[in-house]
Amino acid sequence: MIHAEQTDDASVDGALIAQWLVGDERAATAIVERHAGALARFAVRLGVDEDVDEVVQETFIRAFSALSSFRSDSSLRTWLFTIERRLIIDRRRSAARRGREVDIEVGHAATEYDALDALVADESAQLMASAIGRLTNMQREVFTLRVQEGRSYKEIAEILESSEGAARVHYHNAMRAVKEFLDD
Amino acid sequence: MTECRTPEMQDLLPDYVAASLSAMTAARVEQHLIGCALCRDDIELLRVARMVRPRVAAVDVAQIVANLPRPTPVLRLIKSTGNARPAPAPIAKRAPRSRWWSGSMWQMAAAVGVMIVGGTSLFVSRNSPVSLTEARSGDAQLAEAAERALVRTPGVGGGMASETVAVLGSPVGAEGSSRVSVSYGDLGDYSEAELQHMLDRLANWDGTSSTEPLPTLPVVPSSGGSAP
Repeated sequence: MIHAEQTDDASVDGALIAQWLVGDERAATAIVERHAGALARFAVRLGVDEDVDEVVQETFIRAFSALSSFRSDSSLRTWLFTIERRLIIDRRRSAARRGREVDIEVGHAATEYDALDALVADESAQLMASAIGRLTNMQREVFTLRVQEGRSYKEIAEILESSEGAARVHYHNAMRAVKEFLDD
Repeated sequence: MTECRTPEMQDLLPDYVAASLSAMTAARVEQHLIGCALCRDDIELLRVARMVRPRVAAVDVAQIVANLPRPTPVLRLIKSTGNARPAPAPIAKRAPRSRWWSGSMWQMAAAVGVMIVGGTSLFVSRNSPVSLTEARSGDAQLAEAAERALVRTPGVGGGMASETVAVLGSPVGAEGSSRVSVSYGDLGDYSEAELQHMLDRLANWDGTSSTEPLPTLPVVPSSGGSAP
């Protein structure tokens, strides 16, 4: 049995998937432990505030339902991010159809990060949280995936269903915006 | 200027902060940082940015795992062969079935078409004798076409009166018409050309009598004015 380390090692994930597919349920626990935290954080960054657990669980259910189609072209976490992002978009659309306005505007996202201020002791970190909160949705997604989750541009392009070049441009624009905010 | 002029290095900075670079690449970055104040500033910024992570409540792993779908026996079989990428196998099996299906679809459509044509022909032929033999004046055009399509002709040897023969497109002479009676033909006796000819004639028939009354609209007296 492979121990569930909080790393994003594709070979570890591949071995765990193989173990789960032959019936080792401990592998499923290990996979969930490895990626649940990152999925929860990503959900919060995308504006999910109340149903984070539900979103994470639904993401894993969708992923495990289609695990046989996972081709290891990208890392499992990248694939999970992609599934989660689509899931959140679907939930927003269905909520919008029901008449609830849940689209996350820039100001709302800033509030999401402002709410973290009490949790961030360092003043510079508080400023950074505000700066990230003021980015556009796309810039914020790219910036957090690149800086906080360590995704490559290729992986970001896959998650956001965009191009690698576009991801790079969004990242540099986000960096510039953050610097300008911190300099003011 | 607020950005380094070495885009390659700039792209590597987040990975350097995340400590995900190889030792060799990390050494290159460190060498660059010695002489680049802008990238050093970026490194500090990125370190702070990595600290700013939304704090989320611990996820209930056990509950998630309990709700996960279990692998199907098929998946287990595929995986037991050691193939970590089982997706292509079922696709390869489905491909020929898909071709068979698309081919048979046309065959089935053609068969249904023949059945419809045959059914229509039989319907016409079954309903035509009365109008042909007893009520020719009812619809002369229909009777003529039906007679030409389905006739019983005397046998060559003269003793074949009971044999049903289909004659299409052959006008019946005045003297022969007295010996002609309409019969129910077997569609299997017709060639494709004959069936097509029948269809062409059917298409030219006016199935609705020109005297069929149309529903009348009530006439409402108008008090004048014009339509908008």
